[in-house]
Amino acid sequence: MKKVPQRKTVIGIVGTAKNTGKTTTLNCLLKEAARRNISVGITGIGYDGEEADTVTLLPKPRINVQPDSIVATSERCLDISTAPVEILHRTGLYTSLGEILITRVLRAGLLVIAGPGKKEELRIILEKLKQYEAGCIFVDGSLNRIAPMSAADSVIFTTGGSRSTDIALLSSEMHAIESLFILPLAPAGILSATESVDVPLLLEAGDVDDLLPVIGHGLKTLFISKYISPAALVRLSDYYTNGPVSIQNIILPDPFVLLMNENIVHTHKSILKLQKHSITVSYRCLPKLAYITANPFFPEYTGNTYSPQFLNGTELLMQLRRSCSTPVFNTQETEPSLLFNACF
Amino acid sequence: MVTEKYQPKKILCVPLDPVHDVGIKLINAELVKHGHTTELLAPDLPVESIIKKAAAGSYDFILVSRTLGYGIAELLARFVDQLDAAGIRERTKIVIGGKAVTPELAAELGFDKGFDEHASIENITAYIEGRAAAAQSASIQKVKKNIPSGHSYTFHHKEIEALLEQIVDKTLRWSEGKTTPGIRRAHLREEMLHTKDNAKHEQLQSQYHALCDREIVEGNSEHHFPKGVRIVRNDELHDLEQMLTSHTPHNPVTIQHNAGQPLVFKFLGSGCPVMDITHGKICERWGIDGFLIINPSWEARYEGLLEGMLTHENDGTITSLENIRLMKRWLDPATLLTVRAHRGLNTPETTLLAGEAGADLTKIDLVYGSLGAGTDPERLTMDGIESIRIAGKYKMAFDIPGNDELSGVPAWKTLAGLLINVMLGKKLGTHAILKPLFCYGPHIVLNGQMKLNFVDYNAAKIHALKEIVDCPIWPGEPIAFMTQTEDRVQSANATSYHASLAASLGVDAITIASTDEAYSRGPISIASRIDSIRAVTDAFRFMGNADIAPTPAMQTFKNQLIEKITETLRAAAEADHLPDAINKGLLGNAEDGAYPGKFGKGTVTSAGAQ
Repeated sequence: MKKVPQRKTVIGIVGTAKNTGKTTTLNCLLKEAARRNISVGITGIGYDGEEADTVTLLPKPRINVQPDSIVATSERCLDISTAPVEILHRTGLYTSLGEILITRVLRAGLLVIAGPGKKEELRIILEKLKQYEAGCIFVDGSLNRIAPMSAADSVIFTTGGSRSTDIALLSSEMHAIESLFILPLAPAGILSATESVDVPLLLEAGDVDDLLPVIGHGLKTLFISKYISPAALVRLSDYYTNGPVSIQNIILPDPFVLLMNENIVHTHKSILKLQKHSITVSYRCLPKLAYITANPFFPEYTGNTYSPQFLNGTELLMQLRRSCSTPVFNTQETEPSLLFNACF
Repeated sequence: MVTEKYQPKKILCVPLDPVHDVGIKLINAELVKHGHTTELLAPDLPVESIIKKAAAGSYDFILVSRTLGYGIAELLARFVDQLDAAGIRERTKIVIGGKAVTPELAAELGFDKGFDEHASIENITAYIEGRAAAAQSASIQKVKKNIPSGHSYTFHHKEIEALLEQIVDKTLRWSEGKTTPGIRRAHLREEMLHTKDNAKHEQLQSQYHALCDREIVEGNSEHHFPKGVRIVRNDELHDLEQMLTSHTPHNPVTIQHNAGQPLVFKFLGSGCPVMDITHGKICERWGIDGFLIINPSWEARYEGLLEGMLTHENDGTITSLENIRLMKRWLDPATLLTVRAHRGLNTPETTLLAGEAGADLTKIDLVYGSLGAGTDPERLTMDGIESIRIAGKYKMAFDIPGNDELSGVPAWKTLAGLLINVMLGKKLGTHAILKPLFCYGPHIVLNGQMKLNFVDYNAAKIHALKEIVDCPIWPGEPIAFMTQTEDRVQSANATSYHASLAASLGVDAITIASTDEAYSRGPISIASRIDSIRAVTDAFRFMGNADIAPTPAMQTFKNQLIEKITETLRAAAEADHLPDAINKGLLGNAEDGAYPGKFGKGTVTSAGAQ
């Protein structure tokens, strides 16, 4: 009988790019959970566990699952998985690979996972996994996708040579990511306690210009309830440089709204600029950044094919550790128990 | 155009690609035709502007087109994230289309659906209208064709008809009251297949073995098989089943661009039925219409056939009942299957097994089987007549390959031989299919009929046959024989040019080779099979309903062919019967490079003497 922890925890594994080590990290955590006899749930926000990368065609690590794991995956993935499963529930939610099924693994084997690609659907699937007594639920990321991870309690960020072969750039990017996780949670009741405006979307710079008559005169809190684009963020931060604006608080849904921007370093600079003008940027929801993993691997394009190459792993780890206060590990060189403990 | 069942949808078409927006323009136009409300954005707009548009419009679908490259996956994933964060995915399905997009990649990127460059606009429209499953299954439905249907078998050339009647009547009269070990084994096999009495079966088997060579008896009784032959193992069959039941072919296609273009056949005969089926399934995915099972040449030399599911580590797949049934089980029901019967000492029994296993066609040519394939003319004439009767009983048409031309026999003699087979079929109530060669045969090389081009003489053969009789024509075998080289691109090109000519001439079917058929130095590779199928598919698309115009020389060649076919048949009609004509060299002689075969010589006996 598997142990179900008192508090069921959702751990998201997020990559800064494809091939940065999400599956390797997941396999490591699953192995440790099995050793500790903890009941696990597994799903993903994309497609993972296949033999070869869908773009580079290089071999990929595959997801090893143990008996009694509760897994949410698309129906067509079961045909190409080696682990036999029993279907516990048909969710009525679909991916391009069929209906998402809640299954129980009967025997150890390899599993291909294609879970919900949408934020709202991930929340539904996580509730289902919890209902089936999955105590520790892992959400496998996909490429650099991040939006649905707002449903996680804590996240692991994977980075490495596949994101960039410039170690200094990787370090400054991870520092920016970490900094965005350090921003505070918005105080409860702030929206009703101060004069505030709820703007769901700020996309183009012009959208911010249109907002100026509202935010410039007396309002204290701006709540961007869905998404702000990098261009709109830059324009917003410029207002404070150019003249007085009454808004003192900017509240965002979660850090992922900022993290999905291509240039996180620029995004972080815009936030710093706002903070310099005594603006508080906070979130409605803030998962914990558990740790960062560094993977030296990268696929190098050589004519018509890709070949596996590696950065200097020691140098990568050292520079990342120098830039970030969050723990940084090389998954393949770290004790699984250490990686598992660091999730909580 | 949108029916009540499919409500009009509101769709945003987004060409994310900076340049390649042709595909999505075509899709947009089709969706408009179907009555949907669409908005086509300009290519390469900033993502923020696209999201703003999407957020303001309450669309049912956002269709994104983008050609994939490294780094583009991340760009698309970020776009999906932004749509998700903006709350657009709660009400809108997002779809990706472009080169290299697979369902797996669409899932990885977080799209609701993905279409690659092979997806038809109809597939995409059907998905939008909520009828994707029906449209997809309809797109892979093939209907089995009946090649003889639509042909009257009427002879337009009355002198040739009369001569053929004389030859065939004499031959049928000659065959009366005679039998061969091959005919007797076919009768015994038929009884064995239908008796439920074990003792009777054993008795019949004993009689059967008494008519067989020692190698066949040892194989069937003790499993001491000829070199390279063994029983197919259960794990091999299990693996085959696993493979075929766990995979669905993506985007099956048809080769023809219009219904009037010829059916396309390939050979199967790797020696191993499991490999044949694997190759066959892949060829089916590329649109092949049928296969010809080619047996090992040694199988034709022995009296008697091996039984069981057998594999053979050399060219030619053993045509046992079990092997043919295995192929029938796994090949698509619409795929036509031809079993070669005519080459040796087991022609009637092979035809019987083909019929019992549910094959659609068999291959019988009394003249080529004697002149080019080594069987005694008397024996093959007797066995062939019985085979044509058996084929009729199982409603199988038989195709008549004119491959004696490859020995050096002039085309007119070969065509005369084919016509004798057609008349035999007509007299015995079975449909024949003419198979003139589309080849650069030795006689043509020596006499220069194709010095200026490959079109005129091949076209002349078809026009000559069409002027003589209304009978299906299936150039082979394979087309472009002797024009292909070891260079796979050249080989595929040569096949496609000959296929274009066949389409232009309005023939019923063609047989095509793989691009490494003559040079594989072992089993033919899958890639080379697909090479020639793809080449012909493109040729058919290129030709459409257009024609290739031969030069005036074609008319001259055609008239000469008809004249010389008539002369050949006049001479053959003077002979006592068909074997006599063959033995006298009237349908091909030593000078041509054709020699009457010797296998089975002296085995035709009186039916009463058995």
